[in-house]
This record gives sequence, structure tokens and C-alpha cells, in this order.
Amino acid sequence: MSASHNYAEADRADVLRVLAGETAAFEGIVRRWQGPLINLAYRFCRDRGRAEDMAQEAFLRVYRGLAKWRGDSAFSTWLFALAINLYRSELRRIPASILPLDDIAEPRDPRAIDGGLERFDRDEMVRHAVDTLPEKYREALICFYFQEMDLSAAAGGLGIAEGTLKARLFRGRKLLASKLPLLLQARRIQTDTCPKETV
Amino acid sequence: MNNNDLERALMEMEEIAPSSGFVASVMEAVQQEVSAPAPIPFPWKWALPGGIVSVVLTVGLIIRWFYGIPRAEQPSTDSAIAFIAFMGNLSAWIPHGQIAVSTFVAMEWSLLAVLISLLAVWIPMHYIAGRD
Repeated sequence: MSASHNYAEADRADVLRVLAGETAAFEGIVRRWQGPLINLAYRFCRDRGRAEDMAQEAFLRVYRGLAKWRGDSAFSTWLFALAINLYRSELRRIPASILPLDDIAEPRDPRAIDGGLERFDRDEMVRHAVDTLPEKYREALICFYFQEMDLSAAAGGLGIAEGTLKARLFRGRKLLASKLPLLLQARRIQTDTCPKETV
Repeated sequence: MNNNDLERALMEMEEIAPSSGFVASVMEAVQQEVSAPAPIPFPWKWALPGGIVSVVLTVGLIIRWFYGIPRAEQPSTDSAIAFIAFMGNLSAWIPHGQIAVSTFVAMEWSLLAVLISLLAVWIPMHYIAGRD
């Protein structure tokens, strides 16, 4: 029996208990899904404190709306759709602060300074580039990769058709591919001209 | 950076662990939600008649505005005399004795507005008194 099946059973049981008036049963749901919801929020806002606040609000909304979950889809699908909806509106209300290129953390590995950008820094650059994408492409990329490239789950979470999501992913990747060489080049120039002293 | 590198970087986004007090914090918020008094439902029973009256009046005013105020038929001589006498008596109560018929028509609307305002105050007061 898979872990996801176990989760689905546990979720269903906890939801029924909460709906029967046993509020404490909601803790099981929070414990199971706190990691994914906080990490999803973190991908949207890139701020740990805010991610936890957003995840807490998402759990509260889940609690308030438990009776609306009909059980015809997996609880996790419903949960993520609700959370994504909340995170998107929250980010529209107060946009995430996007760090300028100069403020991106210096390479952790000293070899990065001598021998070019290491994988960590390159990945960090990709994440930064994602943050600078227009909203619809950024959301598409975040949800698609968060849902482990499950197209239907990501499309369901965003409330858009799979075809629309595919188009946004294509366009988003294309924009990323055009931005990254410039960002990487700027980063190289920055590290070449003013290398930080390593202690 | 090729497409595979891009895919991998997007897949392997930085993960954060929830803080130790997160579950407790959420459950506390949930408990507060549970213990909070239920919101007072909107008093549709009391608001509905007022709403209907308002809609009817608004529609009536719009119709009158579009088609103009229908002119009353010419009063008969007797009723015209009675009306003039009434206006004459009324003007005795008003300084300078100048009151136009158009002002009298405007008074009709003013009275209606006052009546609606009084009802708007009286209905909620009556509702609140009924709750005690």
C-alpha cells in the first residue's frame, strides 16, 4: 500500500472526525501537510516567515471549508487548489519582494569564485530568474514543478486548462532561457571585478 | 546551461522545514475560530419588506421620471374654488403668504422622504427591541 494511499485514507478519516465535531483531529491534517503547504508558499514568496503565515491562513481556510470537500477528488488536490488560490491572491495583494541581482547570496563554495559558478549558484540564479518572470508564467512553473511535473494536478490547482498550462510552461521556459545567460554573465562580471574576500 | 540543467534546477527548489511551533500555532488559531461566537445572520426577515418597498419606489420614480408627472385633469369649478380656499388658508400660516402649487407638490415628496427615513430608523429599533 503506497504512502499516498495511506495519506488519502488518513485524510478522509480525519476530515470525517472534524466534521463530527472533533476539532483536535484537524491536527493530523496539519502535521501531514504542513511541509508541502509551507514549501509551496515559500516558492511563491521566497520569505520563510511569510510562507508560514500564508500556510497558516491556508489551513484555517481548509478548516472553515472542510464541509465543501465532497470527496470525489483526493483531499490533497482540493487542499493544494485552495492553498494556491490563496497564495496567488495574497501575492497580488502584497507582491513578493524580488531581490536585485547584487543582493543574491555570494557563492558558498570558494571554488565558485576561481572556477566559475558552481551548481548551487547556478540553481540559485534559476530560482531568481523564475521570481522575475511575469506572474502567470511564474505561477505555472512553480505549480508544475512543485507537483512533480503532474500536468493535471498543476492545472487543477491553478484552475486553468491543461492546454493553457502547457502554453504557459513553454513560454515561461523560453523566457527563462533568454534571461539566464544575461544573468549568468552579469554574475560572472560581478565576481570578476569585485571578488568578495573569503575568510 | 542546457534544458536538462534548467529542469533539474526547477525541480530541486530549496526546501524549508516548518518551525517547531507551527502545528501548535495553527491549532490555536483553529481553536479560536471554534470558540468565536457565530456571526449574527443578516436579518432578511426584517430587511426584505423594506427592500421590496425601496425597489418599488425606485422603479416608480424612474417610470415617473421617464414619462413625466401625469397632469391632473382640470378641476371642476367647485373643487378649484375649494382648493384655492385651502391654499389661501394655508398661506395665512406662512410668512409673506407666498406658496406656489409646485412647492406643494415638492412637499408631498419631502413628506414621503421623511416617512421613509422614519421607517428606516423605526424598523431596526423595533428589531433590536424584539431581541431583548
